[in-house]
Amino acid sequence: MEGRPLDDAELVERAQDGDVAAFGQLVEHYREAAFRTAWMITRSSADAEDAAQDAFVKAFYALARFRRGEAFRPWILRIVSNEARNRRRSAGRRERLALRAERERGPGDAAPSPEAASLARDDRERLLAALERLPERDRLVIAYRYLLELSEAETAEALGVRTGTVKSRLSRGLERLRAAMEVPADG
Amino acid sequence: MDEPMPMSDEDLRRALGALGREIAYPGTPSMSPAVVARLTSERSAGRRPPLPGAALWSRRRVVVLVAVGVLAALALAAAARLAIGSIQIRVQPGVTPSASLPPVEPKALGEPLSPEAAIAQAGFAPAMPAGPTPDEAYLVDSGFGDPGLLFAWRRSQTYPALPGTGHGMLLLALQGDAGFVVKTVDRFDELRRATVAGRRAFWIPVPHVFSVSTEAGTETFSVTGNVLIWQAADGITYRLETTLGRADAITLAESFS
Repeated sequence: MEGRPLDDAELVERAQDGDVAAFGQLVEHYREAAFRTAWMITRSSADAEDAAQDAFVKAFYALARFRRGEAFRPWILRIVSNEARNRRRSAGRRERLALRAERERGPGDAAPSPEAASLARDDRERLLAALERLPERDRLVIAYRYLLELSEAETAEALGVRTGTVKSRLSRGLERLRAAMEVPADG
Repeated sequence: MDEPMPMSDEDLRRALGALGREIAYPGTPSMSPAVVARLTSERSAGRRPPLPGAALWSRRRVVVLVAVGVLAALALAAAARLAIGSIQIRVQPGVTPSASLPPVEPKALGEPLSPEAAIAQAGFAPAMPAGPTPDEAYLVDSGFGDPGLLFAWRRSQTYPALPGTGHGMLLLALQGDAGFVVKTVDRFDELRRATVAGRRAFWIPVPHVFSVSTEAGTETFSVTGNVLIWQAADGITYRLETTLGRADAITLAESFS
């Protein structure tokens, strides 16, 4: 088909008129952010997939409440987060945060950033381990904001809190993370 | 061995940002085909409304009625964005009124409740006019803002029937300032500015029509009564539809307590 790709606002408008295929394009655009957001909560690939998929279905039927001009990403991530929280209780084994092995880097993957390259692998492992030891409230706000690179507003939306709360949680979370890094990991 | 220096917040932020790109996330599954298949299947099986938000649609009609009043009040001939109290409206004039249009039926909002039960569910108590108490009440969940309330009086000697309905008076109360956006088209024959207890009001003394676009096309209804709209000092926006004349309607509105 000819023509420029439709932007989010146009896709939302079409979906509101019942165009499921247009909504499918929105799913395609946001599936990675949705899945990773859900995975940060459930730490189960299967539960994260179910949560994200259910969230998209619920979002479709809730499109009437979506205000024109609003950003779609934070809106969908909030629905995803709620779904993921509802599923977390059923999760069994928790998958852990881990670094990609050097050999997993494909030819098309970007080289590590200068910051990453300057942080030795041991230090990165230590940082991840410290992050894993944080209480969930601190871990999630840090993961959303810095690992998934959501904006403060998106983080607030996904967590269902005010932007000011995100700022204060981030400040406390970084403090605890720094303290956790100074404690040797078990084992 | 030297202890490493604690990282500053800025260093930590940078390190975390870089780390985010190094994490071995599980592969993101392809979700779009499954979501589209579910939506298509649920809708064709009738387990879900055919359109997003279709379940909310009938409730929105009441909000549209209010919009009509406001539009009429401002009598704009061109597309415009207007606001009064909790209502925002987008105007798209063009529809011709017709005598065959159906009047609005409050039961489109759902099952009637007692006024007390509806007030308890809505979480706010609008003022009420002096005289007979309403016979029925309906919760108006627009999906856009705080819930509103619609009160209906059955026709009586005090409130003769609104043409084509069994009701003698309808009162819609909306709280807050959340905007309602309504696509509608109307023709306005007459409009009067008014005041209720010194506050700005609009009086629409002629039948008018309103239209709502749905999946089935554009659905149009008639508003048969006289309509008075005002925002009271308590911040609640009221829309009163009645057969009373202007002076009596304003007197009634000023009796609200």
